Amino acid sequence: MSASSGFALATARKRVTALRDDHRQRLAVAVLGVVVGLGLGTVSWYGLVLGGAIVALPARSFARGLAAGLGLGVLELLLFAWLLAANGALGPALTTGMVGGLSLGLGLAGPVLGSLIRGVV
Amino acid sequence: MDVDQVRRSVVAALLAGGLGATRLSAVSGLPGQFAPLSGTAWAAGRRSVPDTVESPHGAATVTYDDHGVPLVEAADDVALAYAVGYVQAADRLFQMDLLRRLIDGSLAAVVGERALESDTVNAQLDFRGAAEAGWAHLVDAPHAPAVRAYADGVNAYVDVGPRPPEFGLLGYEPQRWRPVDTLLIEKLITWGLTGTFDVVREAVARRELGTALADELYPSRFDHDVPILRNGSDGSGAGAAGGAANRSRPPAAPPEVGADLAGWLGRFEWPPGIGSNSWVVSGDYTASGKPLLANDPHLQLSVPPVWYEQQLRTDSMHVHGVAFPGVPFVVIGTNHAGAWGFTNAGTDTIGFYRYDVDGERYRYRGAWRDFETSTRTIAVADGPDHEVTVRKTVHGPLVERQGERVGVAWVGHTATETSLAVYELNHAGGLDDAMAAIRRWDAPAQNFVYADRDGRTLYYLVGRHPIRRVDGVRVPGDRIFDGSAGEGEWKGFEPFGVSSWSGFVPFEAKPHAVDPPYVATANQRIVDSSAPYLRGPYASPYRARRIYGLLDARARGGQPMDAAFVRRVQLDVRDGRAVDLVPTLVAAAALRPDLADAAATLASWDREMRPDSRGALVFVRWFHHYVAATFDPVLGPAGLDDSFRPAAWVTAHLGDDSRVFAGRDRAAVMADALATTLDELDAQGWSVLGDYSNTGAMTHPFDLSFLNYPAIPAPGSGFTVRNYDVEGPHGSSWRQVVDLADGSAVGVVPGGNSGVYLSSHYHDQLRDWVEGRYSPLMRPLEGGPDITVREGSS
Repeated sequence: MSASSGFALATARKRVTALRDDHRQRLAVAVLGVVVGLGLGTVSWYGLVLGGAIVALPARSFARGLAAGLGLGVLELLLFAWLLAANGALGPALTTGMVGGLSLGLGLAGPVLGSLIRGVV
Repeated sequence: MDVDQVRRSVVAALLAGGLGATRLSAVSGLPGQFAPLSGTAWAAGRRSVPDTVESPHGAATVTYDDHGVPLVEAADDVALAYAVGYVQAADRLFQMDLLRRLIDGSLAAVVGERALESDTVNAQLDFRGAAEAGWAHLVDAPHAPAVRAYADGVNAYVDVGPRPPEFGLLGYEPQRWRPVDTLLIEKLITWGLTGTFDVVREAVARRELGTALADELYPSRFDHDVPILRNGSDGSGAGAAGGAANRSRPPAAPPEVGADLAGWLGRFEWPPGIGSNSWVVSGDYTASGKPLLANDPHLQLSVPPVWYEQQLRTDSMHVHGVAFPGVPFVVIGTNHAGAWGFTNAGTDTIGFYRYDVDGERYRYRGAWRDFETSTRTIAVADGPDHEVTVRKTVHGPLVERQGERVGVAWVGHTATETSLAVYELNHAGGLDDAMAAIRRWDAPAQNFVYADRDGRTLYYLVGRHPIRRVDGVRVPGDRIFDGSAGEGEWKGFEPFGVSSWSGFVPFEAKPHAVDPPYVATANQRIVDSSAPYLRGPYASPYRARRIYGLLDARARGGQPMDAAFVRRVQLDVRDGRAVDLVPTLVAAAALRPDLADAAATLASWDREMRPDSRGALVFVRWFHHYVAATFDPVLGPAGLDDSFRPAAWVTAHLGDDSRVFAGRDRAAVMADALATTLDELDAQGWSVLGDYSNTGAMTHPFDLSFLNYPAIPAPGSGFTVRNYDVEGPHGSSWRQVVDLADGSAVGVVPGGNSGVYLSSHYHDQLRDWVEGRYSPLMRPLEGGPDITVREGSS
């Protein structure tokens, strides 16, 4: 690691630490993460990864960060189920077996994958 | 490095690895396909069909009934067709695209190498060229604006509507719909109904088995007394047009057409057993004094169904029935003035030729000519492109495989006006209009039945039928002609162009009956005439015998017919094979003590194919094993595969002295087949018919079980009026009964009107179909429209 990148990382950590100490800022960033995750998630699965990263960053511990990512995934799946139900498609979707399971897995894995960032920063 | 740093490094590696894994080729497409909020496989579940759309062709509305059948209303045909395109795409876009690709020979581009052989054959047969010739011919026809507007409507949906899941699962986007694609769908259906290589197989069998045995297996006529037009009723035109047939035996296949080619071609035909029922009863025999009409075409029972049900209304037309997805007009149905139906005629509309060939040349009438040659590139998903050389002669395309070849002349390989005929039928104001419409009908050759509210009824054989001559003598198309000598050519036929039809049987000369008392068609022989173009037995006459039997009994009894009676006939499950064979089978089984229980079951069985019947199960599986045991020892050593097995009627009427049983005892073959059957039933755990014959056989093209229909025990067999052959599966692809007294009509499709798995109409008619219930047609719908098409610039 070069001196400049090491300095930048240290600065980022410092700012994130300050953020984690401020309850209101923590909440605001988490809400931002949910909005970004669900919003960009309708465009690309990577939006969920990004959302997972944002909701996890202000968490006070790595474990809580992962939990926040998982929570975003659950929220996203609830939204998905609601959309399906609104179009009369929830029943058929529940019978799709492996395809449905794959979607369930991707829906949870994306935000959790993003939330791993909490273990780095 | 401290512990914290190690942890961070490990987590960073996990994060990078996780993201990196999504770029690996094996999984890179998964998020795009299956992510809950963005995956293409779920698009149709997350978002409803846009309920407002603009059309440059005028306003329209769409109101769905409780089975998802659209009532489309507009002021005129063109505005209507746009909305029809939009709703068909909303409900069947993937099926439309798949069918278009299949017949075009471009299926491998999305499903991979497994479709390469089918694409190769369809490219060689150049259905695309035939459709393009057709559209060029019809570009200014009265219905052309509607065909164009339909394509615009499909594309409007492609632009704004959610994709059905299959596109996401396969990971491709549909191409835009073109008017010529509608004609490609017409070619698909026409080829499916008339593109048979029976003549090639029979010629090969004649060579491999000898003429005497081949004549026994493939007779030119089945011995029965239930032709469509009985007692010579008005079938005289056939004889007038045809003259005496050449009754000499057709020659065997030439060396360049082998068993391998003949058997291989059979893989690209629609499966055997495709057929249909229809009948029309005049007011003389009905309670109301007005006609009754019934039709149930027996086609492949696919998921989604082969038909799309729709009700269409303009200021000058009101029609309800079924169309093939990709076709804007109702093909079978009822309208404000009458009702109509079709069954396959099985008449002579295809010809085969052999040639003297020298490299890229063939000899024709004493001179060498170059083949008309082009190269088609077939794209293959996840594989290299494949090049196909398409060769044509003056007669049409060549089908080639591993050095073997046969030339094909097919009525559908020229510009046809069938789509215009269908359009005009939708508007027909009665029998005279319907006659004018079917005069245009080129292909496929069909038995047409019609009835109108004025009480008129009609049967007509429709379609173009060539007149062939060899040395000036009329001959049937029952052989592979010498194309190099110009044998058996069709005067006025221009493949991939516009034909004059001057050498074809005139419309007036074809078998027909105007205002007949009642007429039943079930793919049996049409008349007892010997006209060459009516050659071929086509289907075993079991259904015809049963329908005429029921109609005759009712007529003789003096009790007038009504719609309820007609529906009962349509749902009849008496199996004619069993009627003919069970007594002999029971006698054969009596020779074996181990078959005593089975013999008793069969003896007490009422010959009806009901799901709870043990006798029906034993018989239907016995017949399967009996066919194999009877013919495989004869066909196998000659190198002839299953596609050479003869018709059920032939099987059932082989006597003890048949050449087929040379050196064998028929009763012993029957008994052995029964023993095999009982072993099979034990092994499979089947105890009644429904355990074996159920709707679980109706499957989606994808190998994903959730896309298939649920397994509901289903009545019928491939030989009952109520038709369901689980081995196809094929059977009643649409049931329709119309009472012309008040125009009341009912119908049902085998499954659901939506092809979108996530729709509640994916298979909501399946149980009705199985249990013999119908839904009313032509009914007004309450409530506001579900989709509004506004006049605009889209």
